[in-house]
Amino acid sequence: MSRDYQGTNGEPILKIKGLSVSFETALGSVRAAEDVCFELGEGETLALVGETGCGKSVVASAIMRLLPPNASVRGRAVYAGRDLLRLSERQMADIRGSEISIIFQNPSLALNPIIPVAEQIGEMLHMRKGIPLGRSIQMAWEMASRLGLSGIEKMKMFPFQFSGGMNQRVMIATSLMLSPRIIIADEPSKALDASTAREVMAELMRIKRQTGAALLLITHDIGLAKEISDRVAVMYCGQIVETASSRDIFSRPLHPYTEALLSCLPERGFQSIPGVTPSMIHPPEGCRFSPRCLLRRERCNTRPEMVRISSNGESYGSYGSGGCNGNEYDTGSIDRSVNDREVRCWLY
Amino acid sequence: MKINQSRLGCALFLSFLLMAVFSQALSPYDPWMRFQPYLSPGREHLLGTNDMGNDIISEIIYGSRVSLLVGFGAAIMAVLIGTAVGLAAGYYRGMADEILMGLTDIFLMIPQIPLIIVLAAFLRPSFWMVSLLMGALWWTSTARVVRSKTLQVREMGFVQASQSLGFSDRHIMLTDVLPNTLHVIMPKFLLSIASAMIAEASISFLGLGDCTMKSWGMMISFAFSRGGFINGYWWWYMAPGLCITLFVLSTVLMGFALEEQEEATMRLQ
Amino acid sequence: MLAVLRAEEVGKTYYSGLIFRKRQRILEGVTLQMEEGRTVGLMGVSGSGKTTLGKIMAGLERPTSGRVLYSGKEIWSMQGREMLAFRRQVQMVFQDPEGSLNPRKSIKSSIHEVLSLLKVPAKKWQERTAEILEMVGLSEEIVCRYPAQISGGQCQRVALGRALLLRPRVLILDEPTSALDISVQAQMLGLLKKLQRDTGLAYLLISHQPEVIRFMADETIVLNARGERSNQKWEN
Repeated sequence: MSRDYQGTNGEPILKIKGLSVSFETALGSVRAAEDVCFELGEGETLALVGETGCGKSVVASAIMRLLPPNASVRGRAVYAGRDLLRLSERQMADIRGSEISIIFQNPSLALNPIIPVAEQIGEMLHMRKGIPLGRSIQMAWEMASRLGLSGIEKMKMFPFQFSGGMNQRVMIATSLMLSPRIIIADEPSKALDASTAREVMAELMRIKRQTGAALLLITHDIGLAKEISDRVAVMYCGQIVETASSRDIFSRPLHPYTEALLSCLPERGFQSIPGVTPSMIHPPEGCRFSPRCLLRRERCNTRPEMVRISSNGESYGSYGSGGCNGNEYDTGSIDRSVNDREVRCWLY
Repeated sequence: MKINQSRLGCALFLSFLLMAVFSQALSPYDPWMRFQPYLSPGREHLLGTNDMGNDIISEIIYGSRVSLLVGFGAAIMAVLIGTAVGLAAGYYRGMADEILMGLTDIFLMIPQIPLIIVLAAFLRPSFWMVSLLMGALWWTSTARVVRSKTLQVREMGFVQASQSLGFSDRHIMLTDVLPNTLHVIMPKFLLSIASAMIAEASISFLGLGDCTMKSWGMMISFAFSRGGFINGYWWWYMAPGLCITLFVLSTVLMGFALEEQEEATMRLQ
Repeated sequence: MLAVLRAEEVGKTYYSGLIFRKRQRILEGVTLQMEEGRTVGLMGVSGSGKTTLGKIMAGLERPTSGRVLYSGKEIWSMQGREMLAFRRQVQMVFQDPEGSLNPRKSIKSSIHEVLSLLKVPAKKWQERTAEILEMVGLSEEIVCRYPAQISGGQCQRVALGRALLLRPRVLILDEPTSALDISVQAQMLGLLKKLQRDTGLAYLLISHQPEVIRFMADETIVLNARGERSNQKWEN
């Protein structure tokens, strides 16, 4: 769908460095995300793919500062030169919705059931930009019809009268009203059936292309990621194990987990991954995937670092467990392109 | 602030409960013992004495027993009947539901306090009767609430799974549906205690209560009829009034606390 | 092959209202046959009555027309022992994994209550629990947990395990994998196939995902929007 993204040599719009999130619970300290680093370019679509519980939603919530109070967050999330994790709540509230907006999983839960749909969509303009309510509602109608919700009588209806797919479109419309520069979509297709999901995503992508926003797509559906994203980052047990362009991820996966995940697809015969998902409270020492990895070696008992591989296959630079905070590798002379890959595995 | 609310509610509730249970140990005198009547608060009688010369503080402490018993009795009765009706109506639906809800509507139409008054006037009033009567009339709101929650729970996967596995209806209602409706029953139960206590006070105030038992309501009634209000013996009528108020407040606060706890667990899920 | 469970011209119509009855026809004239060791796939658009058909086959709902036969006998005219045997031997696993277990019961008590229903002596409960958990590929450490603390895939397996305790011959699976991740889905399908190979279970697999049906089913039935068996040809 969006293969026209050529990559940019300019500054990425969002840089996540060494993001680690842990929760204090009665059962122990849950290490939900560890040392997560990625970059999102302007207008790019990056998919964060992983099984349920691997920490991808936690990463999104951490960036938007929407985590519960028992979470502790470390690292940096740099947007437009500012670290989102260090901003005050007030400054964050300004950014949410207008510059970075988030679309949640279950649309029926996120919408107020007693306010008509058009008002909810228009509310963003009215509250944030002070545009009078009547005009906001009209602009809301326009946005909604671009997303496929046509008919004025529909706009007067309430969320409970809408199907799941329609509600999701309302959610998307709401989040796009202020033309944010970054859209974070957290499992947007989970509550929908296959065909509706495809339609809704197609419309989202169309509008995204028109506004030039960047999209961070969080999903477990690797097929969806393949269709719409430019680059894919695969997460396992709280860590990013591989990042590559979506074409490369599918044709030449490097990390054993990515390979195993792809073989679960129906096209490859539903071959399951042996073993069970590890606990996030006591994750395996060393490489977290090693207990289930068929290519496991002695070396895998120590934690592998993230290694960069350029498009001609050379590996250059790595950053270790200290996170990518300080140890930025020297890429001064090499052009970063969308075809660069990163892998966290001792095989490379 | 919120934590303090629920702690305050629990503390108050418990202290009244303790007061009722340990009346003998806490009260300075036997409430039936007569001293000099109409005494103002002083060292020997912290709240003075009433028209019969009974020590008021002792009356308050012993009165808590009666008032609480009436409250609990009515509430337990109301909740038991209401839950049974609500569960059956919500689970079986169809004809059973229609009949039970019709019955509920009939009971709702009956004016409760006037009925109690009329019955009290004809029969010999006793606290047990009043308590039972209130329970027998108040189950309707619990039934409604339990029914709607049951209708909701009933559609959930695990109830259908239990049916498929072959469990009896009774087992499903008691082990699957009921535990998931408890969180709506508890607040209703607490509020019923409060309502029952106020109703009892009202009836006693009207002089239809049981004069042989000392309850907070009876104390206010006597205070009114035996010259307490007119002469401004505030210690006589304020004390029981305050007790009723504080107890009702404690049940309401506990109800809030339970609701919030439930919300917090729902959010975690 | 012996026809284990068969539906003949089954129809279901819902009536609502007391005086002016509104009719809603969900199913019309559906015939299907399930045999030992084989999977029948059931597909159809949303609202075409797939779940209702599943429930009718499981004996959880009564058809308004047509009949359901188990081992040749009509189920709604069965009495006592026969009826009990039917109910045990035909089990249904429901769609939503989170909702398929009582959130207030630990996994242990959810499994134990089924054992108690089967009148298994209490001293054998631990052994049987371990057995069934192994069969569905779960570790013993989850027994003390509550459904909210385990994943959707694990909940689904516990629900499957509970149904398997009754040693059924037929399993009606209503969208067993649609709420699961692809990796968990692969595990679940692998498990179902293995169980079928080992025990000869007959499956009625209801799904909206064509690739799942293609992978699992020996025969496929498609329901159209009117609840009738459509003549769409399905390649396996």
